[in-house]
Amino acid sequence: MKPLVPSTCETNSVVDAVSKGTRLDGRELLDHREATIQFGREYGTCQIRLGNTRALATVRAELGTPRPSRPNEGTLQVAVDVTSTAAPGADRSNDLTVGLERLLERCLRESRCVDQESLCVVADEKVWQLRLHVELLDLGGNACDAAALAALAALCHFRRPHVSVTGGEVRLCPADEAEPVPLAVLHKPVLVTFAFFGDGQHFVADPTEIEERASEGLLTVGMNSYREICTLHLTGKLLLNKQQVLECTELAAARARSLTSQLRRALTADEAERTAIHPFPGLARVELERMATAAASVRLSGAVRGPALTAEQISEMEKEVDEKLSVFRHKDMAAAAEIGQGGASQWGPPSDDEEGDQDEMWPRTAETPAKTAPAASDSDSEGEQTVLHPEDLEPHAEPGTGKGLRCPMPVR
Amino acid sequence: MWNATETPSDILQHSKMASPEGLEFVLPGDVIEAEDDVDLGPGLRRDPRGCVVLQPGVHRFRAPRTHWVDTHCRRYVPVRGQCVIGTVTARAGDFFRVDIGAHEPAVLSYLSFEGATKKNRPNVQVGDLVLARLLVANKDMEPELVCVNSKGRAEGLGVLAAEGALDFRVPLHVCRKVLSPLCGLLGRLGSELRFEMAVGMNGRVWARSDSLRYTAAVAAAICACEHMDEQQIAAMCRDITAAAHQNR
Repeated sequence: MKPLVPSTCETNSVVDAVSKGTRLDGRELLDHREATIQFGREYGTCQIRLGNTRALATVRAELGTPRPSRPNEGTLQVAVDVTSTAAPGADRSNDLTVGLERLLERCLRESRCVDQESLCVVADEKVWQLRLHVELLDLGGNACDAAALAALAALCHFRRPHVSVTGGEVRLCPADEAEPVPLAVLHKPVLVTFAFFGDGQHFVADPTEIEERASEGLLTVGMNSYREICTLHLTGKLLLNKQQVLECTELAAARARSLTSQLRRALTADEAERTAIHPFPGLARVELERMATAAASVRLSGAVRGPALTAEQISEMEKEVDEKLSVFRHKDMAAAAEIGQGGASQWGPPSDDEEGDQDEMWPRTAETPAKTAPAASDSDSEGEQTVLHPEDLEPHAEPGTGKGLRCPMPVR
Repeated sequence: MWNATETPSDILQHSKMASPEGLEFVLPGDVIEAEDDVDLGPGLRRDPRGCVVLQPGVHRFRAPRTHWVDTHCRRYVPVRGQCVIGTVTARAGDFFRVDIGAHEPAVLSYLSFEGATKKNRPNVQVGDLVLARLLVANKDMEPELVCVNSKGRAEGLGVLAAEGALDFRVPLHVCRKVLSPLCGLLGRLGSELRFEMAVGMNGRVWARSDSLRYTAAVAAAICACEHMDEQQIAAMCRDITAAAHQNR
């Protein structure tokens, strides 16, 4: 579909307003719209709303062969789509989607935001291939920023299955065996767009669609919270000087910092919500769900089969299911993801000797018997992984003996 | 969202209970009880199963026998006889191509203006806004527009001026709401502000007032009245006109 031609009326009103220092939606020239971040049920799905603009990003991972030029690295592919409600009659690939795909690839892949070497499972043979799919659900201006933030949030939120490599065999561990592993996101780049008017004299931040159409050109700055410029992209018929570009990058740095801190808060809140509902992540979550659906189906089957099952039989079956569930509902359990069973904290203070540095992630306690090594579930080593079973856990461990399980501190 | 045991029909049940009295929400595929000789409006179609809903929304009925579904949509389907606002995108010989947001750009002949002859062509440039009426509108042909009535009079149709004016888009039901005699928005705004406006049934509105500030106030009022009832509209008009008159 041909892009919409803006009417003279629209263009004039926008240029008029900007030259007077106001905007048609009442914002200041350099005011951004507030972004709302909403995560989905699956790991790696995220919807961003930026005013009227909405973008939905999904991350999928599958095992595949690496590129011959980079045998030790995983791959990241970006695909952008505009839904037909956003732009009626839009083709699958037009300027907007192709441009956005390339921009996101530059911002996320070429800036090495995701550590692709950590996605390698077996060098030269098996790596994780990440597919990032961004859908633009609504175009209310500045689809770039919304798509980039959605993509970044989805990458930070995503968990891939744990892989165990034994000999030459690669095995995907299901979720109830080993906790899914988050991606190693080294830094969080976001895109910030500015629209220029009046031969480059005035510019506005976070343009709406009318402002985008009426502008002479757009400058997109990709920046992370460490003030590193990840990408610069200039479109339209516009010539900028160094001063203007530097000014924009300063503003982009502030916006990037606020967006990344908002993203971090949203991720923490989402994680807390998930653990509150399922206090035993990974290990028992699938079990719990299976039990819950079994309980529901018990009640349902009782209703469907009618007189075949008496009320006593139904209540007996329910009691059985409840008993099984109660193993996981221990009274002493706190809501946070603890696998140890109460007792005092087994984290000692960091010791003062020379090896203190080495062990600052793993504080030493008293002499511990060699318990099943709690290999960090979020580090993919090539060695054998041990899987923990409920029968290994000993309830009510005494403090200082080192029995029970130590929860490894995730590397930040 | 997190509750594993809640099924989609439960969620719909909650939303039905939360809705105000008397509003019947329907989804595509639902069948509505209706007699044989009823008038079906947009969103409904007669089927062997009965009266089938095609679009999600609120099912409305007006005595004696008109049923329709009110949907929230922004995409316009041309209907003959409606007034629409379009942008002139090209001049192609004897006619203009006008974008009205339909499946195809519409055509507007240069002779369809008041007082236009072959020698006396109207002054229409690419990028201008025109208010025109649909002469031909069906799904198989490109829509045709005219800027005159059957007697040759313009009656407000034609090119809309660009200076000091705002052109913006609203959902389709907002256009109908603003133009309906039951909605007091225009009356209230008109008693405080001086402005002129044109509403196209394709979801575009053109408004012009003394200055950009007042025009923006009118535009904001129209966009904001989407989900408001009469009392809220009255309060909103007061606030907006007060803000517009302030800081002159």
